[in-house]
Amino acid sequence: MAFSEIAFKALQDVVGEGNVTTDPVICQSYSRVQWTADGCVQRSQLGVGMRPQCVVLPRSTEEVQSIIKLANRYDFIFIPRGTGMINSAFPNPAQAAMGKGVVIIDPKHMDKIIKIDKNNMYMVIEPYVNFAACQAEAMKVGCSVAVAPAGAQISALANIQWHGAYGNSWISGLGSNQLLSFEVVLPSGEILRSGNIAQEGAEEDWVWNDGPGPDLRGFFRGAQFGHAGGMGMVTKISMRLFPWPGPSVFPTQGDGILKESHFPKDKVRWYMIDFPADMQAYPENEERQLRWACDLQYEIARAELAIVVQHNAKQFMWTWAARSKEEFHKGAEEDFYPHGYTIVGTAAITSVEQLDYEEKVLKSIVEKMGGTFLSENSPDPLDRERYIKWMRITNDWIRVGHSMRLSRPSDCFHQGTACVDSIDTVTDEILRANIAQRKMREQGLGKDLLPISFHGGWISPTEKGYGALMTTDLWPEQEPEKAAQAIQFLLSSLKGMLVDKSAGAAVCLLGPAYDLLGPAFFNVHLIVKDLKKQFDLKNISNPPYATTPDVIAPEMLAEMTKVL
Amino acid sequence: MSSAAATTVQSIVEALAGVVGSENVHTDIETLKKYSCDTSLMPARMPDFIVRVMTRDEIMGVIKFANANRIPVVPRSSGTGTYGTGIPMEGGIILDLSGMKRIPRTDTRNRWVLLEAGVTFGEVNEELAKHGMQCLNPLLPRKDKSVITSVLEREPVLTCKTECDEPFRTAELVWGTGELMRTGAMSVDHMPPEDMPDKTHSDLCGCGGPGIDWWRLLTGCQGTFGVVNIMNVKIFHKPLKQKIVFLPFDRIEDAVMPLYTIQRREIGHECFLLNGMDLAAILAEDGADIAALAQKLPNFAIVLNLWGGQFFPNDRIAYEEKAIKDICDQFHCSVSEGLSAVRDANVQLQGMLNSPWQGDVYWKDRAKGACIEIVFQNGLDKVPALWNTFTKLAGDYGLDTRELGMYIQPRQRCRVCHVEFHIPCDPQGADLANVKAFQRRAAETLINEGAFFYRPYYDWADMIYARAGYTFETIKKLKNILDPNHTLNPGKILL
Repeated sequence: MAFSEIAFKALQDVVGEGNVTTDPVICQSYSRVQWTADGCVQRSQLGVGMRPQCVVLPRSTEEVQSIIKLANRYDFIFIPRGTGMINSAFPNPAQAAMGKGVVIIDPKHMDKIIKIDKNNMYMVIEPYVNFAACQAEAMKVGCSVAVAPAGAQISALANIQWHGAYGNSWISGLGSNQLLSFEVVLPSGEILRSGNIAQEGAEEDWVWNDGPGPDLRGFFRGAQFGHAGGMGMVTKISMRLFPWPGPSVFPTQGDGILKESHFPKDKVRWYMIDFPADMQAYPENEERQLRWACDLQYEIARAELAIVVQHNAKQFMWTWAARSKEEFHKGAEEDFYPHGYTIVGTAAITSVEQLDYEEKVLKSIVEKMGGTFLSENSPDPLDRERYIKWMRITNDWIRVGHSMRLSRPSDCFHQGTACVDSIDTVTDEILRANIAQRKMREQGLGKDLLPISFHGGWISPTEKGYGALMTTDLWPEQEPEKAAQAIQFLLSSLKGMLVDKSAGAAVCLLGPAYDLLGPAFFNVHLIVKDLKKQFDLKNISNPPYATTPDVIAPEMLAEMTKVL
Repeated sequence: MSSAAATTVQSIVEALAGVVGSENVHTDIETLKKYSCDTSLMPARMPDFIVRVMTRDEIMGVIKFANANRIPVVPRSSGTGTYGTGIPMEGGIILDLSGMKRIPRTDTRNRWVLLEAGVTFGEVNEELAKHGMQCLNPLLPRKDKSVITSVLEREPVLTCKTECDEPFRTAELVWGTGELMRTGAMSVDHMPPEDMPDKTHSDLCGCGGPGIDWWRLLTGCQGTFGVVNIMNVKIFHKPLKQKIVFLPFDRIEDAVMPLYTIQRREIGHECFLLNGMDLAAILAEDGADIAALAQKLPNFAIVLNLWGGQFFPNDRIAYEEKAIKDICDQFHCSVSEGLSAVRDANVQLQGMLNSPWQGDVYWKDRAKGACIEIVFQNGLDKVPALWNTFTKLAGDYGLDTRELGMYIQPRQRCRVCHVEFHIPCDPQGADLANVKAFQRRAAETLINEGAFFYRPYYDWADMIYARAGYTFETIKKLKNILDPNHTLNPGKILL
């Protein structure tokens, strides 16, 4: 259905003629998901149908509110977005089937860091502020943000509302942990505030998240995913900051792909830890290696050390450390990183003496477990090179310096599986998924995925080991058929999680997945459908997110989940 | 149980007895009176039935019956509420969970304990001590305070570490409709959590989901959304060595930057600030000595537990001590291991960090027999001005400002502070009405000055939600979805 002229004029009136357009050329530029496999498939299915009818650029919460009220009046769909990285920020097949006009709300003009409170360690941001800006400003006042490997250029607000996995998850947790106060324009146009800002008189203070009364982050934020724009548009949030000992400016040297970053050793120290000699052969010893990495992480948790603790799979190590596509493919072929490594970073939050203490404890733990540290002085020259190449970019776990290294191998990637639970349990999921996916490959499936896809397993412990996140990653090329292979693997993982009753299944509910999985999870889909009906009466806030208002018929569900 | 509507007391009693057994349904006046109040000095309101439950099936059965018959259900785990949460506003059933005492599992590797709703801090710490572990305690909870209630109320814990601030992991609950629900990683196994073998595919560490973050929605709702019967909560390893130190101050303003800096530099484990009156209420041998002792103690003191942890504890405490001395030099304050008026204050407090209050009279009530509180949360920098407003207003009401207590609990390395102002009072005294009037006036004044009342307790909900715009409308919509007949704890937080 054509987007109505009267609606367009009303939008012009709200944001000014220069900030709203139906120009098909400009709108077409809002139809291209960057590099995710599901986005690639979505684009191939929809073609020009992925182009919105209109793009509008508000400058304030009030303008967003007016836009959403107009959406209710003129019955058009609105899609809130941050920096537009994932496919929920684009028109989708369900919207096409609804036959309504689709308007993308682009927050490019809402790009301000409104406040940094260094004593109370929080920052207030608008939707178009990216992580690079957040971290640069935080470091100036002796703080750090949670650092998203998803890229320096992405919207911090959208990442925190939507998902959020971090290089320093060891101290920061996941996206839902970063969220403090928030302001959202609900699908009805009403403004909801949570935390201090909800209370008149305390609204200047964005320091706290919950109350008054129930913690509404529970309504607005999911286990791993938020509502993906299906419950209005978040216009401001405050996010946690963490102590940072300095330096106040991120140190870099070199240019372009030769850029390196090294911190002074009295501020930050990095450790690259290898397995005991008898378990280094990979993939034969994959399970032993991963279990050993788990034991190490639990010991570090017991010691309460460090700001970064990760087990980076072989696929993660080289994807990050290679400086170019050419270097990546050469190194992948030569098996430059033969297996994964545990990476630990410590920072002088208390003092240099604390750094020395942590080093003493870490060495004692690793030595007792039979592991070794790679260094510039490692006996094996290859180990020296592996260490040096990693150390050039290891600071990326504190400030992502390059856009999304994960997209480098093939310009397209997709998670093979993901899980949130304990360090042990997410490791179970890595092993299960790797075995299943390798078997699928032997059967001729996923033949076009890059070989490194089958060496996955990022163990990212959160909250100093109280929990953990894992992902494995797959690399197809940006062609629908090849991207579909990656999605086929993901769906197979999801089925495996359900069969095995893996904790990962609990975090996968979003959109049509509520209908797929809700009956197995205490019928939560019915409650969330009620929420959608209550708060989005006309079902115009980025349907079918968070879910559809009504239970979907099986044949319709099959159609809708084709993209998954 | 009959499906016919129960309209008489007798028919309701019979129906409830069919669920829990007649020995667990009480309607005698003495028992009803006992449950009509808590320790808050809020007006008593009579329930109609007391129903003691021991299992999830009994909880579901009672709530389903009550929901079908529009009878209110007020969940109660310990009955020591300080804020009136467990007082029935519209009669009905008090669902007494205090008999649910099982602690089915302790996971030392993932650092959590699974416990039922009636388990108290004393009971859980006794169990955890066998495993070399410790619970995340609030400051000296009452002996019979339920751990789960404390977590759901978002009571702050003594440790300021960011990762310890939200102890909630996963839970099982019953909605107002009587339907069962499990949150987070507990939801995947379709097995009662207490029956799960030690190693399943879920370690009950993923707190989110299924779908949205139900666990957070349950906190702060005062039992109006659902009744939690079992939960696993974070715990931590007992340190091999620890050491309490004090930083005394004459003025609260002077404590602000040292406290920020201690926390910013992540020194110590448990840490809090008390004024002399509250410190005396805890340390005095006899309640009659509190006022005199308060005069000898510092006006304000930071209490900090240096924490040796599990590895090289002497080395750890040594670098923390050095850092504390640096901070004291920087801000011209002092640090000591004891207090001149109470030489073994550090030893006494050490024993109190992981235990409930042991005395017969609760520490907050010791000075005058009862205590009315004002509870809010703000950045530390806002607190001195709010304290000054509070004490000035107390003077206007003719109260002795030397008797007022203050407790500041930094959270998440002092990102924010939970603040309690205490007004000791005689529950039978002639001045009680004046004290209550002062409390309400002070609450309103502090709100107007920017204090954030994150827990709408007592009768504050009206003044708080009147200032909360669409937030309250949202909460009401959520209530209508989760508990459409308003079965659970009606009247609380204006729902």
